[in-house]
Amino acid sequence: MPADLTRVKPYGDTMDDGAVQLSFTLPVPPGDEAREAARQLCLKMGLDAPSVVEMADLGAGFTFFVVYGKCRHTVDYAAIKIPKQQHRVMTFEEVNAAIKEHLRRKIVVVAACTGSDAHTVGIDAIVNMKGYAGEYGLERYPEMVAYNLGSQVPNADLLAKAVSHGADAVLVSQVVTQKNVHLENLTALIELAEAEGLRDKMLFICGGPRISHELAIELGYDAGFGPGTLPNHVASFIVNELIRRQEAGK
Amino acid sequence: MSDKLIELIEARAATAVAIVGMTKNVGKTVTLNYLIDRYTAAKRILGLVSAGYDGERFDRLTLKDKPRIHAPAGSFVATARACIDAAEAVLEPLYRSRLATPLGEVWVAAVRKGGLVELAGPGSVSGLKHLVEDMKKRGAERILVDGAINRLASASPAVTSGMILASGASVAPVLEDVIRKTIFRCELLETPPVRDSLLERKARDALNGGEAAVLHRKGRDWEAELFRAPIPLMTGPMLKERCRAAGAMVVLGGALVDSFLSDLLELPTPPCLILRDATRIFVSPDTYYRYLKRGGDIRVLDPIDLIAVTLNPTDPLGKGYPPHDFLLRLEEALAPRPVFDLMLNRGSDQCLPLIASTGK
Repeated sequence: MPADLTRVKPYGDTMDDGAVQLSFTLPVPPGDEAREAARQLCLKMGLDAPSVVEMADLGAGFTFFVVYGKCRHTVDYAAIKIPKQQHRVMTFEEVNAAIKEHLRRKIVVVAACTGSDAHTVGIDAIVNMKGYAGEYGLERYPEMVAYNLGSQVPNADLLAKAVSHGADAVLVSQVVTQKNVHLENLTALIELAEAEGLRDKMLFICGGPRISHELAIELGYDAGFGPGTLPNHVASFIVNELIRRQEAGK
Repeated sequence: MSDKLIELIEARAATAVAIVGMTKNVGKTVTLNYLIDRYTAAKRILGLVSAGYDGERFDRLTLKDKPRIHAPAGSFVATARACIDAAEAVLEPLYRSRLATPLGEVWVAAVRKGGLVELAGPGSVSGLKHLVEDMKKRGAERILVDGAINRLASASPAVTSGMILASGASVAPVLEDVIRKTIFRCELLETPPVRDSLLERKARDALNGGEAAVLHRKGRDWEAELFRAPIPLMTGPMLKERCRAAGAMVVLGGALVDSFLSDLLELPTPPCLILRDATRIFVSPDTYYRYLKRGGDIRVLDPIDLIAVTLNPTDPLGKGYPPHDFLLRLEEALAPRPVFDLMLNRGSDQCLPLIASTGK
């Protein structure tokens, strides 16, 4: 029996049985009362027939539970539409070939961790010669010139360096947390670039463990790269976008 | 139900209005939805565009729900191609702008059937200006440009002729700091224009010839000494030595940063600074107030019209305030600027309804 995509619910043994497994800890000692508390909690979460299949004493008055139950709810999968990122990823060789064929000059990239941020792991993985996970970093690309300015670079210095190197793209790495200060350091760079008349002259790309392409749009950047990004992803974006702009300008 | 905010906008005949936030979670989208709601009831043709990403299902950092955006039938939206394809509203793409976002190029579309939309816009002032002008040409009577985080791009006088500042509890952990920071932001945004028309013309001319200039008094006229550099920031060190003469004016084509202002404070009389507009000021309150106290003056060529301040007394990541008290405190501190808590007017602390209501 195929699933009804307008009413999708979890699958356990049979279609639409709604079976789910939960695990959690309660700050109470193990016992019959604890088992009942776990069961009641699952009822409140909207699970039918919750069954506590594991109760383990964690010590110090804490207990760990595994509960099976049946989810009452369904979602309309057919109605879900997610805007998708539209980047085409090329290999190391393809990137260099595309630069030679379409751009016919070396592409300059300036990278830094800005503000108070000293977490260079991300930017090093993308830029440094040896690269990351078997993918060479941008320094190794024969058709690219990459400058890694290191950590704690003030925004004004980064822009000044980008201008003096004739950068095509600026890469900024930030460990963004829920604290707004990290976000505001990223927006400050974009605003400064705008004020200095540089916003349209180079690509601005941000990266970091919490960065997504949606967040990059919010921050005012041309692209954003999160966990799992490899150097060729960034290189592909830069080259594709420069080619696209070159063609749009014709 | 007062519509004072709408009256304030209408009194200025501002076609394009920016909504700028002090930081995240200060209620920019709530203010946007309020304006969409009211203008829909008044049967105005709207144009909607974002300087960031609005109307998404949840916040990418806090993972909390966000208010969605309902585009009314007959309005125009400018958003990335992928958002046009994924919208609940029925959109007819009209114009491919070639402005890029990670979700594809931005298109201007007509809303054929009202519904939810996600607005993903270009990050640049030039991009926003282009889209606002396009929607104007297509007949949009009021264009709402939503800001992103704390960015000012949408408030640039090149893009919009008026702005609303959204502030709230998430600006700072304590109320006094929320007030202090909001006042400071208002004062920067309201940096007064150059009132002498000859001086204004000389300053504009100077920026056509250089990244910065020092204007020296010459009888009734001004003589411009131009400075060239790859970017205006780099003219800083050259400027300081040239504006020692009394009455000299410094015209800056780019950003005013803290270090430059501190340098000028070393002069016996800090000169008058002329900037293009207030989106180019990047200074700390300390240096700024010290500069004004020492007799320095800061002016702009293109002023920003701060129409009103809206408030969100809650902070999803911290503590909130009783809405009435918060409004009163901020009203008092920001007077005579008009201050609104748009949720309070509705007698509700819930998010605005998704569907635009008709003439409340």
